[in-house]
Amino acid sequence: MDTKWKKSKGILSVLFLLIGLTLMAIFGGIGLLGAGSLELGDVADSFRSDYQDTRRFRREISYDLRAMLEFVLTGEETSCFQDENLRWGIWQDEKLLAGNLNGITGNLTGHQEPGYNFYLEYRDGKVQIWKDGAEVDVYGDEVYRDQWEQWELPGYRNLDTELFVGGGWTDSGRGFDLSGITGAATPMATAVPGETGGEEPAADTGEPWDGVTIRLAAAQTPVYFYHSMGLYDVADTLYTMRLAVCIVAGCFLLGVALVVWSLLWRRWMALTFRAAGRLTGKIWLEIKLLLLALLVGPLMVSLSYAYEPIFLAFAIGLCWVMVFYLNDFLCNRGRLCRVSFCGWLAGKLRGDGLDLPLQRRAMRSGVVHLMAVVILALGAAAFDLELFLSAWRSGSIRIWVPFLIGLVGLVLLGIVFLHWKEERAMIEDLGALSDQIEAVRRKQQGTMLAAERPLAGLSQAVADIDSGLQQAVEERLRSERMKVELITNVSHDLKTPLTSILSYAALLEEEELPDHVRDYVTILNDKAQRLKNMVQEVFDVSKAASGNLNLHWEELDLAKLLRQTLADQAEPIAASGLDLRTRLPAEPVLIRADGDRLYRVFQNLIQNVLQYSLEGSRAYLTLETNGESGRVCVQNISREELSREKDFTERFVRGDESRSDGGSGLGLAIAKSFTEACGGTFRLRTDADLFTVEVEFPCVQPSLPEGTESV
Amino acid sequence: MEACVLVVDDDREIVQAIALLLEKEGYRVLRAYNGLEALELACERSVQLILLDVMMPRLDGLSALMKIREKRNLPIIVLSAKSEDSDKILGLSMGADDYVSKPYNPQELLARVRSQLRRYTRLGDVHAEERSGEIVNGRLTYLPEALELRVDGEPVRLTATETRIVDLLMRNLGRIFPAEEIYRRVWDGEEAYASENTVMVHIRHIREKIELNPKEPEYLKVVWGIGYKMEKK
Repeated sequence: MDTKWKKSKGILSVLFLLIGLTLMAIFGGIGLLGAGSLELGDVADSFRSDYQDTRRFRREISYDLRAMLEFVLTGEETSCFQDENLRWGIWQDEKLLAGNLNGITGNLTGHQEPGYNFYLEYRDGKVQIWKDGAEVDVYGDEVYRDQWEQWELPGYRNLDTELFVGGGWTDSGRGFDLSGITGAATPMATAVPGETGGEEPAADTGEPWDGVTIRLAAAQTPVYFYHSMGLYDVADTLYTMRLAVCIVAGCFLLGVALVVWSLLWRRWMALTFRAAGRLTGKIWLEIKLLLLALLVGPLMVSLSYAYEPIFLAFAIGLCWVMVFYLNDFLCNRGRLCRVSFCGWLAGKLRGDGLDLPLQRRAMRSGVVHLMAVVILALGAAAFDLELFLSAWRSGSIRIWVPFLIGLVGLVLLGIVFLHWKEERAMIEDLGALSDQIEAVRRKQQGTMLAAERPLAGLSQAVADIDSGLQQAVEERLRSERMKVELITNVSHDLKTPLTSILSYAALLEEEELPDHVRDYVTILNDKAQRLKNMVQEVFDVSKAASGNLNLHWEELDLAKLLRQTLADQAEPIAASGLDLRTRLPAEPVLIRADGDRLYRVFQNLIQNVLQYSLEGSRAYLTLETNGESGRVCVQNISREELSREKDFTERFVRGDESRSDGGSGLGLAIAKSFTEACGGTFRLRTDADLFTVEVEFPCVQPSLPEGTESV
Repeated sequence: MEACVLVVDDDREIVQAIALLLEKEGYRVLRAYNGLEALELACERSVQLILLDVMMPRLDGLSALMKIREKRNLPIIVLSAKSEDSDKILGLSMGADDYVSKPYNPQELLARVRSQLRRYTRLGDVHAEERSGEIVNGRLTYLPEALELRVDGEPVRLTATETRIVDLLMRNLGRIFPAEEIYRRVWDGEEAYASENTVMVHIRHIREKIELNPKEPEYLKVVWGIGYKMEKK
């Protein structure tokens, strides 16, 4: 539910972005185009409630006035004379020359006509205007400027009637017959020939419009009539423009809002784009380019119909698609070329995903074969189709030949593909099988191939070998364990009779005995003691070898341990007559081990040295550290010749075959097994008569040891 | 008065050997060959100490030990062929006062018997004798003011240096001292390279005076690779 909502959020935000951008582009464009042909004032005017408060109205009125003045000069009528929303009259010395005063009583001097709220009076080259009963200040500082709010009317210092009327009057020249024109051209004008004749001298003495009075009245609300022009047109244009501005601005703002919305959801939008990128990333590059060509090609060709709506829709759709192409490019920049048919083919030839050289070679040859078959098949298919068409056209009976050929070809192709699939599976199985064998080699659990796979039999065989091997190892472990148990039990059972022997030997020693019998008893006692030690050592080494040793781990200083051990063994060392040279670092060498066991290790090593060294020779005990590990090296010259073949750490192995010395033969075995139980490595080297033991432990970082700080 | 010791083992020769050993030292010896006999004798007769084998027919040593503990409060030393630490801990936790593994050293066995008996007979007046400032640690008692160490109540003769080492260790039971620190505090700040050897020699001498088996010390122990300590009992 939640993820579904997130998903739809993402899709919605992408849609909003696209639609918003499109709306912004279209209506922004229209707005810009309109701004080229419109002025800001027009847009502002279109929102005024009073149509008379606009420049268009002022232009219209001044145009009307000019038309009337020109009528006075030339007698030409213009369409504005038929405007039913305008009432007007031209008077010469208060005699009506022409006009449209339908429904008006009097001569428009009252400014109180119902339905008309705008009045203009031209007299003596100046204009007065009343609106809603009040006079309007037309001229201001009496200088005309081409400004939005100004009236373009005669009466300014730089705009008199002559300039206002302009070309029309100068072109026609002066001294035309005013009366003739007025009589002929104005059916609704009340012609007063006598008076127009009386006007002529005035034209000679001054301007022709001297004495002319023009009065206008404009309707408060223009109405539609047959020649719907003039003032109605002014009001109607304002309304239309207002609507257009609203629509354009509204759509543009909607686009902006959608874009903003989509940006607010940009987290989900980014997810969607990424998902889209993943999706498109799987499509081969060739397919993408082909699609792009199919889309862009027709557009280029049909550019000449650029204003057809269908073309626009197509272009917009293409833009949307381009967004996804761009997204694809950004998301899959590095992989665009790889995810393509060519890339796929190259990968197959390289043998990507296949680890073994054998697999790669097999794959490569397989792909080459398959390509060859495909190319041949395509050629054959084209030829067969041609054959079929020619047979069809000629109506030949042999039409079944190409048909049969095609059928056989299809079957062959199917077989080839099945074979290819099988070969692929086999190549994959080779990899799996190699993994399985590798797992067996590392003594891990490998995964077997499923029974229906081509190489399942081989896999089964490997699994059988593995299980046999494991069984053998387990058996060996069990027998080893049993051996340890046996030794433990035997050493235990040996102890009881040994206790009696030792006890009675000790009692015998207390008795009064002849000297030779006392010697016998001493021998008995010594040997029984040795037997006791051996039994204990056998027990120890068996436990260590079987991994049953309980260890008390602690952080300790190997150098100090060696010093303590040397101090502990000081008496036997001094008594041996050997020259034991030691070199131990002054700084601590910290390791983690069981101190008691480690003491046994070095005690045994030192005893070994004391017991088997050449009399009076030098022996060496050194500790070296490189920061990562501490290495103890014990070296001595053997008294007996050392045999190369012997493993001295085996139990009961000693340097001399006669076994006449006092050792149990277990010292080195104990040292080795205890060292390894404590996580160290034990190495033994013999070089002629030089006997070397190396014991190495990994160092640990010093932590504050407990109980050793000063009080 | 000679003390009476009960020796229990299924091996008659061993019982005989121990009996001979103890009788020579002047103890009276009672013999038992399985857990049930031991139980009977321990309850009926006036016995001061029991030496008890673990693996016996009819009633094994540890069960017998628990049964005897229910009725009598007397020192019991377990004598067993099992020499593992875990076996020792098990025996001691079942109520044994001491644990000796076979094959035993006759002199060590005698020392342990003597030690246990001395503590047992002393138990009656131990509280009367207790003085303030005494440090008691198992078989050891240290009187810091008199600089006197007693083992099973018997004063031990120590040299001046040994006394100072004992003084340091007994005052800080269980604490591990590196040799350098012991040397610094006992020999008054003289630094010596051979401190380890010097300290070790003295430790060994002290051990011979206080431990029942100096080769397997119970009290004065070396903590290998770290230092020395007096085990807290």
